[in-house]
Amino acid sequence: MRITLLKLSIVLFIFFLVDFLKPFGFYFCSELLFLGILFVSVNISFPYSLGFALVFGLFKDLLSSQSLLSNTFIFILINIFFTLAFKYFHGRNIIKNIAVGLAIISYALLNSIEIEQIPFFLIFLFFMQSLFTFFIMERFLFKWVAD
Amino acid sequence: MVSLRIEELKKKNLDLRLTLERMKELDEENRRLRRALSIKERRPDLTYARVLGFYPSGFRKVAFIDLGKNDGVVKGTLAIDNQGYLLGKVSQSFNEYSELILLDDPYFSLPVLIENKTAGLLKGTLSGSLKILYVEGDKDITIGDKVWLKYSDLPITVGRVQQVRETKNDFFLDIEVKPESNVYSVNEVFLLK
Repeated sequence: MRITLLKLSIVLFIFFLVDFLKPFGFYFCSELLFLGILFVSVNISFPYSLGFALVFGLFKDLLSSQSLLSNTFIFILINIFFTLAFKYFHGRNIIKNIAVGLAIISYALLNSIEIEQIPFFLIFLFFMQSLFTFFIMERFLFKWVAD
Repeated sequence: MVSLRIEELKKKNLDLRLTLERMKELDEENRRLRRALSIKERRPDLTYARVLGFYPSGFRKVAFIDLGKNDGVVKGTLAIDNQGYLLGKVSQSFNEYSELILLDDPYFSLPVLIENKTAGLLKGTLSGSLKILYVEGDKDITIGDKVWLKYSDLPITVGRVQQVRETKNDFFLDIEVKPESNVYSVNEVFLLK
């Protein structure tokens, strides 16, 4: 378990760096750190995943002069949502996929509320890119983390 | 013996490929710096700044630049790209670095002129195009009109009017502007002091 947690910490930190450096500019509008927290919430047991959400949420909030702990709050909320969802619907793949989709839409809407605008096209793009990236993450990252 | 030689050649090939990639990168950087230098020669009051990174969110367009209060950068300083088009403005300045809010950010706002017809408030929308608010319906705004601002006798172009709509229940026009600068990819900026 310790190795898994270490691997996840490194991966989430790299995701944070990629989000910060934006090597693809604003053409890639999804957030790898957010998807990483989704990945952790789906695949790691509750107290640990909550820890990741808390630490990396704070990490992201440190960079923002406008949003006061909003990322920490959103990441924790996502984590609790997944924990509750899987408590009742454990092991069903379709439920997991629906929950991931809902979490991405909720995240986009929460951000829209924060900026007081609803950028429909950006939300659509964010949803599509996030969903695609998440499934790639599930396919490749899961294997490496579980090994 | 032959396989050893092949292995050696493969290694050499890989090494040359990596060197070539590095050369290409340096060439691109060289070209960017030359462009920056030519602008600086023409306008010595401009300050060159490198983008360190961005706020890690898909819903904000904020960049961090490598100049701060120690370099004389203050809140409200305007930033242009290497073609002279407006890119954003400094929203916060720290000792070593500053936060640059880009044109397309939802919190960006700046008074601008449309040709010499009227003034309005420019706002970011996160969609790649910008909005101008508070322009009355009786102003003759047409597609292609230049949107600009005056900064100590220097005219700075923002973009061109892309769409004008009259809204039924509103006193003001709905104006969409296409920015001239590339708001999707920013590596360097020039600050106007």
